[in-house]
Amino acid sequence: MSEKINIKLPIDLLELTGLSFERLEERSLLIWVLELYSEGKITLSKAANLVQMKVDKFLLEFQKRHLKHVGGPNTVQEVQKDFDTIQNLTKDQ
Amino acid sequence: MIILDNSVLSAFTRLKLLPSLKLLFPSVIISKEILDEYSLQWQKENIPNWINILQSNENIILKKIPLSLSSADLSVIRLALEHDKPIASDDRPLRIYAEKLGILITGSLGLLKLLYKKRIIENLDEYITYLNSLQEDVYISDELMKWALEE
Repeated sequence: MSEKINIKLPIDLLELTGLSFERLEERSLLIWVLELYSEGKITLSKAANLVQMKVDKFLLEFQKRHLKHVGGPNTVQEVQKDFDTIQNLTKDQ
Repeated sequence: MIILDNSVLSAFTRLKLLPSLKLLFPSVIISKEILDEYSLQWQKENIPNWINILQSNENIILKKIPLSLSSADLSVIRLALEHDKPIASDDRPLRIYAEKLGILITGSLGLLKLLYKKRIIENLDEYITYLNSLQEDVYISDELMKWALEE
């Protein structure tokens, strides 16, 4: 990862979570990245890169929280276009 | 031939539908960069040998690259441009960027419906189970679910 920023969190979080400073930092980053991925603002690959995880490990973190991933086509027109693309491609299969 | 990004690769792996894609496409491709983003154990357990793993051409210059994409995403874009083939992705930032470059796009939902239409997924109950399970990877709105279930 390139440049970094500092953010401030209430010190109570250390006791409430039972995490070390480093682990709290990692967890905070993970929560932010999970949210960005959930909202469809970054790709799966970018999300895994940001938290320095393998993609399969990141997906385990995502799926165990039962989060919704906004992705893929947005409208019926878009999904129909998706479908037509592969239908044309596989006509002879 | 179709190129998978890791959103569709991981969704179809989890659904255990990766082998079915072989029945739709003569060739399925992933980039070396995409493969490297998975743990070695995952790669060993999930990637069949009929999937082609290709290195993307770094000499293809891309402009106005969104911050929302990783270098592995760009490898998928480069493969699509180099081979003039569509990408299957459920990641919206990648889909939007690819479309701007004139690359054809599809996604898991379209693929799933085609598998059902071609009766590779044999019956409706099985198809509905897959659709519900796909929600763990990508949200399917009521409107899109209705479309998926239309004959």
